[in-house]
Amino acid sequence: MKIDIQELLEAKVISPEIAKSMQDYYHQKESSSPNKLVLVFGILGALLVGLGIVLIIAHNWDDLSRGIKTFLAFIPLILGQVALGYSIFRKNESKTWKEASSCFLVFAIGACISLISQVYNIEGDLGSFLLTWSLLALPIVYIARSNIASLLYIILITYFLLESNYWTNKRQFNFVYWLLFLAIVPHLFLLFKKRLETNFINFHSFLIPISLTIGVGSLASEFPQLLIIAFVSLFTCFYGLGYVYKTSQQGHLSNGFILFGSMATMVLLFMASFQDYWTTMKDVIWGIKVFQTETFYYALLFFVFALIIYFYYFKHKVENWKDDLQPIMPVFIVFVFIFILGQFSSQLAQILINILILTIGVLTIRQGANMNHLGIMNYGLIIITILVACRFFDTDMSFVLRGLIFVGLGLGFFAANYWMIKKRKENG
Amino acid sequence: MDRKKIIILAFASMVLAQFYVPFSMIMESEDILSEGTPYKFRTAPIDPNDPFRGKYITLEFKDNTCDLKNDSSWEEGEKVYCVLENKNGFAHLNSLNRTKPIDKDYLYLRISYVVTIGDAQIASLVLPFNKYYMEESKAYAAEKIYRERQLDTIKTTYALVYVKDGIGRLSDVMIGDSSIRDMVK
Repeated sequence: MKIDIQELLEAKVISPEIAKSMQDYYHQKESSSPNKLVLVFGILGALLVGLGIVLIIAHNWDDLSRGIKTFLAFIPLILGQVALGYSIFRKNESKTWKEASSCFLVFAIGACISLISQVYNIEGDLGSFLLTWSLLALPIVYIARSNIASLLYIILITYFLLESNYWTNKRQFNFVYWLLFLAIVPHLFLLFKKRLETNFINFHSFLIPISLTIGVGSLASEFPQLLIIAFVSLFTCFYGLGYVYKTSQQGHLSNGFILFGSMATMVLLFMASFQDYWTTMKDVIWGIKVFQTETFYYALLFFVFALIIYFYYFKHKVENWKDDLQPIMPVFIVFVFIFILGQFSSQLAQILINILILTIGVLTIRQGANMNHLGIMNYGLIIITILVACRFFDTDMSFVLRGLIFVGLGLGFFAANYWMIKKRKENG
Repeated sequence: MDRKKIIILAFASMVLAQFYVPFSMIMESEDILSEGTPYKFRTAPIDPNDPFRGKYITLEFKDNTCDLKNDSSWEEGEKVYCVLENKNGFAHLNSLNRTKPIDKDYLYLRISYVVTIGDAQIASLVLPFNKYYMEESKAYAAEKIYRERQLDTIKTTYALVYVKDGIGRLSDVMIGDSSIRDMVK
């Protein structure tokens, strides 16, 4: 950059004053943006030390008296608090200090509680331990504005949910989990709105969908079949959110919302493309009873969420809807219609789902071709290939015919990629 | 109040909260261990591995049932007050209550299931103090000793539990008259 400024100055494109202010600007930018590598190693170091302490404590030293063990339990906690306090009040501008000490403190809290419960043989299940841990870790997220603490917090509350509603007890609305998730939303909102920390945004964009998907999965009580609508809506919500915050420079692979939303939707559609799926679905008996179940309202709620997100997307982000309408976006609406039809004719529903998948595949290939994007084009081809492979399981086609279709598809892959690469070369 | 003051206040409350939780755990446990009544629960252990809390012996209790005296209103999963008494020197679950018993030792327990045997209705209860923490290297040895002694009918194995206000704190696991901790030393 310095050379460029020098060159522009010599060529009299810019005045010395402008050159000076440009240099100042870049100098300032350099010093305020943290060194990414230092940040990564700082966090990794804190993570390893934290995990190490948990393991050392887990040894449960018998030779030490109860008093000493209790005292030792507080040392990592105090160290963590002092480090975090120092990084907030003394080293306010250092991202590395803040993130590393936050990370360490989160682990120190867990280590302290588990050592105390070990010393006194305190009963209590893993669930309540995780709940206490995440509640004590939450303030770190807001006080230190720490993104690593927010990632760890999401992992903790998800683990808490798995422990209390998946592996033990029955699946039902876990009020505590949703409240805990709501508590982190303001932080997430700011993180995604400011768009300053790309790496942390990317990590969050994978973790949030995973956590919420597990959350919605834990809701099932009566008529779990209806929850499928909630899932389709949720996945398309992710997909839409991914496009809402996506910038034109960002790739699709680093955007967890788009990647997870798209793939999860496709997995669900592929599941629904089998006959068996619709025969089990038929258990849903329409009538007043369905509208009395909680599941129905969950499905409705997520459907409305999806509608709101797409309404926002089209109002604020779309200039030309033909180009900006992504193939997966309308799926949640189409799926509801097919789902209702499926209650009357499972065969019709199955055929429609297959047509839907085929359409998505073709549109994705077309989109890839238009955008000159090999990845997207091949994603579309893969969708069609999986569709064909799935249909091989439940049809009585001869091996020769199946073979020919696969050869055809393979040739299609070659041709499409060859064509795109050739087009790229011609263009430049 | 300016921003800095708010942050200092928030940070201080966070530190306090992070201290309060482990401290209250310690205070409660110390109180139960010093003020509570000791009971001996006859046991039989196995040893799984908890990823967060090191090695421990999981205890299973012989006397974890309670005769419901033909009262069929008790349900699975219900949380109840269970009155304790000593029978032949060991703890015995005497009766279930929906209200706190006065002037009696009791535990606040969950009913795991209710069965009918002959004419009698019997509830099986979850005794929560079922983990006894040992040093990593000793947990396995302790378990082995314990398994051998389970077959020994002369020495009784039991858990020493202090009970106060519905909470029980496990203080030791005994084989005959000696602590399992001393036996693996």
